[in-house]
Amino acid sequence: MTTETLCGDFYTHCFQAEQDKEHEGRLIINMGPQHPSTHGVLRVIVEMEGEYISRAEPVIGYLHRMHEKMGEIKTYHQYMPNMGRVDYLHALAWNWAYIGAVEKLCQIEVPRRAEFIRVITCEMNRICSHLVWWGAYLLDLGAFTPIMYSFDDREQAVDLLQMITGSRLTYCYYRFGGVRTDINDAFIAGTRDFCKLMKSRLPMYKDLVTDNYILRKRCEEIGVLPLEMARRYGATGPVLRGSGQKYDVRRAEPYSVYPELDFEIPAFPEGDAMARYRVRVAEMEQSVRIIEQSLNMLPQGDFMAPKSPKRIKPPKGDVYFAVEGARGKIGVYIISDGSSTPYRLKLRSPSYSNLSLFAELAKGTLLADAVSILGSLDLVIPEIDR
Amino acid sequence: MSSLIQFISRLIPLELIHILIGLVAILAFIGVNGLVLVYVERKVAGFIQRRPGPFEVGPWGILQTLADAVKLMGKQLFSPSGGDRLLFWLAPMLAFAPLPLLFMTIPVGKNLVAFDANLGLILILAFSGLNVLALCFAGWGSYNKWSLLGAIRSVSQAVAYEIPMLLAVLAVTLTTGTLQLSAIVDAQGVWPWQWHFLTQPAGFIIYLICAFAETNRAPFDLPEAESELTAGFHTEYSGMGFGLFFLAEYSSMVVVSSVCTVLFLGGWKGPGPEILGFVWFFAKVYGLVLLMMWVRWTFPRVRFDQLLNISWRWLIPLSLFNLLYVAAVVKI
Amino acid sequence: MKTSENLLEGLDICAQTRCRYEQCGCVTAVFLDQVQLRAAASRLFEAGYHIEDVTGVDFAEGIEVIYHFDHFDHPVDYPARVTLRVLTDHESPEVPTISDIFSGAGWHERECFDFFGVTFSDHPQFRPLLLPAEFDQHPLLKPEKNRESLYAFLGACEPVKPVKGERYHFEASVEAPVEAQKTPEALASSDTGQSRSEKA
Repeated sequence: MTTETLCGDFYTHCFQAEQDKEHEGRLIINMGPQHPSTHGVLRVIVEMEGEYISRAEPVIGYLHRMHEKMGEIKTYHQYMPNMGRVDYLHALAWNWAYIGAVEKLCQIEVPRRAEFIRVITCEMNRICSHLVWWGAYLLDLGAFTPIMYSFDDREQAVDLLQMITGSRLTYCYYRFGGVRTDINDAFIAGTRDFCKLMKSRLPMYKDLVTDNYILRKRCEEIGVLPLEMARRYGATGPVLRGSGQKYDVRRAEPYSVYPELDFEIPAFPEGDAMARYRVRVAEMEQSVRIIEQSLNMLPQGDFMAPKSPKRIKPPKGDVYFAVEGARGKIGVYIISDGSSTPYRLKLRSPSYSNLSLFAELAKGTLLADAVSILGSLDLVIPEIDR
Repeated sequence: MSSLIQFISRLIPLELIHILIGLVAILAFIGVNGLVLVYVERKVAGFIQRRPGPFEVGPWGILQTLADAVKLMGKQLFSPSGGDRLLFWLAPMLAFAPLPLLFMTIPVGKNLVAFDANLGLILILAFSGLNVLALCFAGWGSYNKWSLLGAIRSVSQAVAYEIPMLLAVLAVTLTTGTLQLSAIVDAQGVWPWQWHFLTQPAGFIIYLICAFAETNRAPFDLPEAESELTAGFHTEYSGMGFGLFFLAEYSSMVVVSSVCTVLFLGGWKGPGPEILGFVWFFAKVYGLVLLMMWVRWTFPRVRFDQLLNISWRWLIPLSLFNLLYVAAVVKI
Repeated sequence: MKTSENLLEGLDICAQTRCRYEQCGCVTAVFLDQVQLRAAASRLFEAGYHIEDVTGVDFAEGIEVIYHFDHFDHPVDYPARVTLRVLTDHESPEVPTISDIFSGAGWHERECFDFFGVTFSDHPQFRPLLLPAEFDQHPLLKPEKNRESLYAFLGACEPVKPVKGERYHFEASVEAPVEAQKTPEALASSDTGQSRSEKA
């Protein structure tokens, strides 16, 4: 097959060149960039032996927008909308990571009410993100219906967030020293209703989906990620907690009012896709808990620091600020040279680290399992490519 | 007038006319059935997923599938470069062509059968096997690795599930002693407790599971597993090429449900006048089709090795035991 | 701080930044010579750290490669976030890889090559990751006139063990003018710079 050796691009050639001599002639196949289960434009080159994957290599960068370069060109205020576009599913966490980093750099105080509003909205966004993941993951496993249920619920939360932030997906709501708008009574009442709804829905999801025999057979003992390997790759978030490590930035590096809130960090030691699944479902419960507590503790006062600066010119220095996103530790590292634009801005996206372990995890699994593993890592491609 | 009929019948045998009328009716039925089932499937999916389903085109959206059919027909037909054009275009035809033959021998009501062959069951089983060949051609002719994987899957799946299915069917023919479908219906009574699914529950369940696998319906839709193989064997098909596969899928759903009805659910028999037999028949058939849809929208897909394990480890031994049980208990 | 010195004891640390966690998010930032990088990474790996990211910054003196590490358990006797910094020159930027120690660093290093053109020697799969393979520019390199001096950022840097490297040295860092940082427009900067220099 002469055409076979001629076709393919740079990455395929590299992949072919690394093939063992004895495995020559094995099927090399591109999963993506337009594959339904890669959720966007991730591409995985896989070498297959029958239905088994003997080698896999993710190829990324199809959605690369060079956010870090944009950060060096735009002023601190101008860069804010970019953050909603990095991870479109948990945009508020990225908002927070960036805003938090700049606030730390400039030592801007945030009013307590604003902190609580941030917690409420960020946790709601986390539930939205997990709901989308839940539906999409089951879609990967061939169950079509759950995504409709999860989008139904997500719709309620997105409507509420739209009410106060003005957007439904790519939020740009937090400001240096507070939030853009105060929350109103309609939002508070709606959020309480949403919490009630989620509390009734989550057990239903468990009955309908989590306990399904076929689903369990597709998730349990699939893609077992040892803790040591997770550490080696710097995996964070539910992927890490699915390997049994109770590590959550909200607890490990407490920020905002999280230390005052009572919530647990769910962790399951099995390390398989099911453990990651359970972590996320349990996290939704915890987020509901956090939202309810925050609503009860919500103080009166300013939603924006009265002395919040109109022009941001941080002092010289660097700052690393991390928050817990739906996919793991979101880090923003800013080096400021004292001017109105950052000297260097680095975005640490959790999916990037989480995906990098896929090649090792997928080795020797079935194609269908690889899809299950890929889904259980909860990837958002724009976040990986930035 | 009567002399004219006699003249024609001397020229063409009456049996042939009978078959021709049947064929025309069946072809019309296949087309309408495809349209109706696509609509029903979407409405069922909508109902299960708490959404309205199609409701824009026509009242309650009933013209939606018609619009889709027109769209499919209007689309350009592509064949992938480097592919085997002959096999590529042969495949959808081969998937569709045997279907009218399959409907021929199925007794819809008393004496309401296009061609009451005395080996009708064999005919159905033989021609339904062609479907695998079609998928195999489609996968090979597409010159696409995903399609090829789909074709490989479909062949091994068909091989695995044909065996327990045949064994389950064999058990029924053991009790009736005939392969003629109308005779099998006659062997069952009017009331549900006289039907075979009660005397051979294991056979019924095995047949039903195999029917899902043979028609490539979820949770056994591995040859076209969308999230794994993009669209499996029909990745490269556009327009009516895809449309024919689609039509074939819905028609074969009806075929397996019909055979199931005939073998296990008493065919057209039911309480009431015999002339309304076809109502009973279609009620049973579409009941089974609805069951298949319900399952599709409820369960996740099984993995490929699990699929084969279900067949080789469970269904085949079970169907062998079923055969022994039927031979020993029912026959003696 | 004592413990972080224990962690990296015996290594030739060029300079160490005294930083407050509340201020810059990390506990220890350490300048290392390239030859010491792999040893330091191994120490961190054995101490249970995980990699957060590898990134670069373009300075006038060269490209600084920054490694961030963090610990899951945040034990009291170890600091949380540790930053390692390595300097390499503009002409032929090359740094030893740590992807065999921290597998996750592999991708970050490839990204660093895309953005800065830094070569990581002995990296097993060294090829472009985020940018197309045909793209031969490195977008995060700054034009010559926009590059700032590294020393301007070293206000709080303390040379633990001044080493005269072949390519760079840090004696100047001690005298880095802290006052010069305070531009009139700088917001809330006075106490920031103050506390940082006090800490130092």
